[in-house]
Amino acid sequence: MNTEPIWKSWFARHGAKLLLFARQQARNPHDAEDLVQEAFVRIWRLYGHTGEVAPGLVYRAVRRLAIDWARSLDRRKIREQKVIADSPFHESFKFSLEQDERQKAILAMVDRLPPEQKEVLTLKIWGELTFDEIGRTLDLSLNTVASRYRYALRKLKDWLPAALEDAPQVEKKKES
Amino acid sequence: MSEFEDIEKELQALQPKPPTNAFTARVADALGDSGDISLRRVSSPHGVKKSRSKKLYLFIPPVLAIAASLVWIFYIFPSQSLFLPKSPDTTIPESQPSLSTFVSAEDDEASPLHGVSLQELQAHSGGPDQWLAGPAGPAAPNPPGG
Repeated sequence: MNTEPIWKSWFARHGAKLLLFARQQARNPHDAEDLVQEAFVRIWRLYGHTGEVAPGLVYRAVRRLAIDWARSLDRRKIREQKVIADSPFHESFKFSLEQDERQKAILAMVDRLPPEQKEVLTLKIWGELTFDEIGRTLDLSLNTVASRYRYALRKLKDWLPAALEDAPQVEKKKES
Repeated sequence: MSEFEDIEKELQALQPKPPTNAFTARVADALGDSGDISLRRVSSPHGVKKSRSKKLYLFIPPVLAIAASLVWIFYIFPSQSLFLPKSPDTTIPESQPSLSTFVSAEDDEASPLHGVSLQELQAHSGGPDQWLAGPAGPAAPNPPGG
C-alpha cells in the first residue's frame, strides 16, 4: 500500500517550477523558498483535501506574497541597511555536460530580458500555464501576456547567434 | 508562432533544479496534519473498492434484522392480513340454518316452494302443521274458489 502523502507527488511535479518563478519574485534563493513554502501551505490547506490543486493558484499566491513581503522588506531595508546579493538565473537549472555552454548562454539571455517579459516566459515555458492562467496570475490582460511572450521570444531569437559566438570565447578567456 | 518553435523547444529542454530534500522536509513540517488528511481522502482505486465492500458489509446486519422481524410477525399472526384493510364480516351465525338445509335435491310436488320439500318447509316455517298438511287435516281451510 502506498503511504506517501498526495502533496508530495504534487510538489515533486510543480515544486521546481514554483521555485523558479519565486526566484524572480524574491530577492534571494532563501526568500524564494520561503515564498513557495508559505504559498503552497496556504493553498494546500484550503484545497488540498480535493487531492489536486491547480498550479495557477499557487503561482498567484507566490506573487501576492512576494508583493506583500517586498513592501515589508523595503521597510526593513531602510532600517537595517541590509545588502542582499542576487544569484544568476542559470543557477536554478540543471545542465547536461555536452550542452552545458549552449544552455548557459540561452539562460544568460533569458536573464537579460526585462523582468515583466521574463516572468511571462517563465510561467509559459517552465510553469506550463496557459496565457489565460498567466494573465490571472500576474493580473494582466490576455493581449499583454501574449505580446510580452512574443517580444521575449523575438529578443531571444535575435540574441542567440551572438550569444553562442561569445560563449566559447568567454570560456577560453576563463581557461587562459 | 511557428517562427519561435525552435527557441521554445530549446527553452523547454532546460529543466529547473528540483527542490532539495531539506526544503521538502521543511514544507512537510509546515503542512503538518494537512498533508496527512489529503492522503486519507485520496486513495488508490484498490482502496476505493475495499471501502465500498466495507460499506456493503455494514448494511447486512440491519437487513437481516428486518427480515427476521418480518418472519416473526408472519409467524405470530399467520391468518391475519396486516397490510390489507379488513373486509366486512361474511360469516353466517351458527344459530341460523344454512341455505343448504332448505334446498333439496329432489322436488316435492306437494310443496309450494321449488326445491324445498314439504316436510322441510314445515319444520322451519313455524306455521300450523295442518295448513301445510292439506285436506287430510281436521281444520284445513277451504280451497280458493271452492
